[in-house]
Amino acid sequence: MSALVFRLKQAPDRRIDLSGLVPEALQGRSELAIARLPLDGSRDKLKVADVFGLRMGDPMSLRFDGGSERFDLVGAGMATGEIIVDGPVGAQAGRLMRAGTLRIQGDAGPYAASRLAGGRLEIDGNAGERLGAPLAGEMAGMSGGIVIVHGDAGSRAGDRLRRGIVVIEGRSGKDAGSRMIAGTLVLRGEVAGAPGPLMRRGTIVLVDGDCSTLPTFSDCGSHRLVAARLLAFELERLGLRFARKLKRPVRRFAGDMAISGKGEIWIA
Amino acid sequence: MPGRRGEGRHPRAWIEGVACSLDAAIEAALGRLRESRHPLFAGLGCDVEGARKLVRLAKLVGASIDHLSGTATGIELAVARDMGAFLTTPGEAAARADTLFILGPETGEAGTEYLDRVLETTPKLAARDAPRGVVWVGPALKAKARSNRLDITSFQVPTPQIATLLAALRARLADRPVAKAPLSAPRLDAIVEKLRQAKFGVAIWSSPALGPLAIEALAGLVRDLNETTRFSCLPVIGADNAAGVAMTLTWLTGFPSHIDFARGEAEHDTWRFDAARLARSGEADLALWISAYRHHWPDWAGDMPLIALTARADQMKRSPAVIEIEVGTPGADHDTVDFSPASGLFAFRAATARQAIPSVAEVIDRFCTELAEPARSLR
Repeated sequence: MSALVFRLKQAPDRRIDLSGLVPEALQGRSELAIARLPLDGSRDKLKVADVFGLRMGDPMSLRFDGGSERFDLVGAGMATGEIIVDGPVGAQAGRLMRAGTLRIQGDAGPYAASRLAGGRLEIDGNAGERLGAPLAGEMAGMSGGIVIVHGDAGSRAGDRLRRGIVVIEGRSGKDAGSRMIAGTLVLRGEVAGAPGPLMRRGTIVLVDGDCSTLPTFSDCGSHRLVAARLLAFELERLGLRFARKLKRPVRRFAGDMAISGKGEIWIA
Repeated sequence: MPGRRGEGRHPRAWIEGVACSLDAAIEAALGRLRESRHPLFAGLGCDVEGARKLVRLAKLVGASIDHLSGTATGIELAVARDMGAFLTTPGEAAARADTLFILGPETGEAGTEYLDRVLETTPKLAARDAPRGVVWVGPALKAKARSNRLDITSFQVPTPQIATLLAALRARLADRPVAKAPLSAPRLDAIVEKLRQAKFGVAIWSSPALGPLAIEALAGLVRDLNETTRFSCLPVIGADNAAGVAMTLTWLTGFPSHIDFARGEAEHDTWRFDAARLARSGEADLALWISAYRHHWPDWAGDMPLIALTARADQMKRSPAVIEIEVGTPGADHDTVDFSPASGLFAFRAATARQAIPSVAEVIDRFCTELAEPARSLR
């Protein structure tokens, strides 16, 4: 059975909350029922049919034909199945996602993967600021799962990361890995400024090239780390071939000494 | 612009730069508010009563509210919300502090006035014989601040490096190693020792240029100091009653800023309801700009039609507002309750020269009265 397709009728003139359109919420619903679903968060009470043309298919596999940077909360809370967006999305894509696969074939806005708990989010374009971060007032960021950004990421990627793996293949913005609690942040491209300010624990991995480090990170020398090899295998399993570089010795920095010094930066 | 400003003390208003009666301007503004699909209330330089009425109006028209983006108060609230903070009042700091840890502001910045006051006051309740210890970090110290009542140790550190310095101090306080920092190891340890020796220490800063991570590093340092001594923070309170309005909005809606009423209930999102973003993205189609304490405009003023309630301007300038209504300055033209930076409390202030110019609250109240009836019948 082919995918259930939402074809964007025209670029929306307001922000639209798409958190209701996830596989588990659409299972067993008729075309008419889906067309009449309200799109929460719009200022005027929009329904699915006002924004999208529908082509029925397997609700476990959703496809958005055409995206918009005004689509907020795409795949938010999703617990199963697959969503593919052919275009950009707005803020908080994959927020609180628990399982399944979400693929954005374009750019994502700020707070993508915010507090993601499981599953896999892949962004083909760039991600905005605060990838995986908690919203204002929340104490921890991503708590599991895998996020892969093939493009660049904005500032403070992995803010308050608690568990899970975040990979940024392009450049990453300022203060990457700020306030990390645990988890793994892999930065392949160029890094703006020094990463890991106020990180408590966790691992930031720099794969291609060097970066400046904060004075509160202590150089621990080069080591052949078993953990680095394990991470390399895991990343290769995810299709990230550059990870083989982690099988060589890595230079390790411990920090942020301002907090506890239990976090680390590996430079491969 | 016809109608000279700064002269005559009667209500004045302009539509597209042409002087008109207050009633005509209010009528025109009402028309705009009724038609708007997504109005934005920004600036919010007003007293408690003004903020109260603005929340009522925002509920009636389904507006977004943002007055803290990019302000010092916004950054301090974000840090307090994320990790908490040990805070004290300006009065306590002036009376009791035996050690001041000052992250020096640039000259002329908000807060320099208060800083002068603290530096000139003799602490009443601290050890009287010893001079007050001051650890000054930042741009060079002003000559005015020097006195024999103060024992000043100053360290010149460029503002962008203050975050790094604070992190290094916190590491040294816990006896953890620090690599090459903005100051040498002995000087770092000298600062740490002075802070550790404080009986009643207060950290004072004002610069929004420090950024949230620097303030968070400072809040963490103060938290660690409280393991062994008493130390608190005193952010210098920003302009335009920002802290007072934030508190008023919090007790009315649950949130200090970045609020939206489109769905009837107050909703909070620091990114979605950022005023500049709403203006530049074209999502908001009308702005209500409030600035009763001073005459100024946001950077995004040109991006959408503006209804402005502003203090009188000293000189004539082309106004970016479609409709502009002059409002009284709280505490000068009318009685007010607002947050006093000198005491760190809400305070009543009687008008110094009472005028017939309407207050923000009075103008907004007229909007509410006109809009309330039809809005109720629609819902």
